[in-house]
Amino acid sequence: MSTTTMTHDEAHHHGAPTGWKRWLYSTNHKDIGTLYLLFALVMLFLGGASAMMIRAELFMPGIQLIDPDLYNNLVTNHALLMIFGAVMPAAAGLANWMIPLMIGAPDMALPRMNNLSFWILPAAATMLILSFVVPFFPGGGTQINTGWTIYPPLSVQVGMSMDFLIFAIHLLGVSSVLASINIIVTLLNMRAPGMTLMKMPMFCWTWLVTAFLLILVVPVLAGGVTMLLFDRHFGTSFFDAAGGGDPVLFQHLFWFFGHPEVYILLLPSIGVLSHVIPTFARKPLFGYRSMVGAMLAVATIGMVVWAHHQYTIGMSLGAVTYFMVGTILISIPVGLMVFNFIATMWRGAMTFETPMLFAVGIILMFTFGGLSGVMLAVVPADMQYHDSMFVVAHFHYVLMPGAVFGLFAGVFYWLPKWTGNMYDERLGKLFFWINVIGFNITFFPQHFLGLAGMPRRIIDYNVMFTEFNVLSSIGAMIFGLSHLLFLYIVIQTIRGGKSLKRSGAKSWEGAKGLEWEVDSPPAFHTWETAPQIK
Amino acid sequence: MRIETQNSELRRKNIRLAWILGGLALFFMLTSFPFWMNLLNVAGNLSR
Repeated sequence: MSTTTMTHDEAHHHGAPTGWKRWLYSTNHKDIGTLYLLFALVMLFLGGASAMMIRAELFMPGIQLIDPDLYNNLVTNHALLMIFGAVMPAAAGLANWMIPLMIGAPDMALPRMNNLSFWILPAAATMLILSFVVPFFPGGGTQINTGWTIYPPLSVQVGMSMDFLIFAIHLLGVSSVLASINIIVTLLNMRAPGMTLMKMPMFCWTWLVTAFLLILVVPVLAGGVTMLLFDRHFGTSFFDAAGGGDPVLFQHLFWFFGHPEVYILLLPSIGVLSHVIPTFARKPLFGYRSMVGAMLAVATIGMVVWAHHQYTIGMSLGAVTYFMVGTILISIPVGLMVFNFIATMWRGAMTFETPMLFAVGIILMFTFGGLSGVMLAVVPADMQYHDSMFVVAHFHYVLMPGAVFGLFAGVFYWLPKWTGNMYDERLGKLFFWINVIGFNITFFPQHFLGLAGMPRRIIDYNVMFTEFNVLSSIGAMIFGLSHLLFLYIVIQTIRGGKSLKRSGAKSWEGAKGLEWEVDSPPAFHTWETAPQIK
Repeated sequence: MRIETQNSELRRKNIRLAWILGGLALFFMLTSFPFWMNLLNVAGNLSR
């Protein structure tokens, strides 16, 4: 197909292409952002369905609905779908939509690579889902019962579904690295004249740090799973002690990726909060420079404390002390961020629209998850909590508020900008309350289950744990089903109609930034002439 | 149809930075050093 290059003046009347080619061949950051967000929504429901099956099984002690292998398979798939399928693509969707609008750029720096980054994802998701489905076919081998950490030697013994999973991880990694390169190049080279790095919106800063983290750690995971593939099929012994290898080596490689991955999931949502809170507190963000510094500190320290996930493997006293102290140190910059958010709200003229409700909820619940994280960072305490339901409660309190609720806040905050319609505020608030109450009923009791000794990743449990599990499962059903309301609100807002108010260019009274200077919804091409920043 | 959003100098600059970052990613993958160490061991064993 020939390519026609248009000059700016000619392009003014050029609207969006139509039909399926608009999406398949798209190089437009807004369209690709929409694709990312839709993809993430589908994966959210798939991952959520597997979580609800897990909780349905755990409703009562004994084996009720599914067999243990399928249970473990669901645990693995739930994590992978949520992390790689839902949260990361949703954050990339927000980045695609908002970064060029925020920095006054006409598009991402490498638009065709942007298209490639997205369209690798459906292929990766297919491989991921196949890894779940393949064992159900004759000759499909055993199910993936390793959890998302895919530790050898178990992962060497799993059937061919592990090969699908390894290929899926490779594809997801390529997509993430390409998207990260694009975001870094856009942020460093495409900012409007006058927008220095220290004038850049905080969401852009969080993505700059996130993208660097991705480039540094995803290739290490790729190396690790490649070695795993070699051990499985090509006779190597990287992780096989009988052949001179070491299975703990894989744990180090995995967590060198896996721990910074937590910050990769968190930081974009911190960026969203840095816009939502000032908007609804009607005050500038408190301590912009210290936020940037704290974020860089979190990323730097977060890169070198991975082995706190491995205290029980038998490291030297010096090593565990280092990893313990390093991990606890992270609470200082994270605490600084929380302090800045509270200081921004202090004496602000606050209103509590849905994005702000999520922001306040995040501060409370994420701080709680952080506190249980400090408990887990302490080596002797972790020896007791390790692989218990306490850990499950902890990381869901960190990742649901810290990452997913932040993304919800972002969607509610920017949905009027994207669609030109204000969402139904009453339904938005209803969604927040059902969602947050369901979340807490699900995960708060799991702290007690873990402290009382209930192990995680096991299908059955002692009858003494029944009451809290019943409560947790009821909460999970409320929590899971509440997302149907979210879907309804999004569809209703996209479709518009007489019942919804129209959004002006500036959807929120207190909103500031270049993204609010363009129409709602924005034209297909924006900032073809770069704005001048003073 | 493609809209011209970058002049040639900016495009060159963007592509150059992208290659540098891609190289950094490749460097990190290849320096998950045990990969190469063990691959060499394997190659050594095979040639014996």
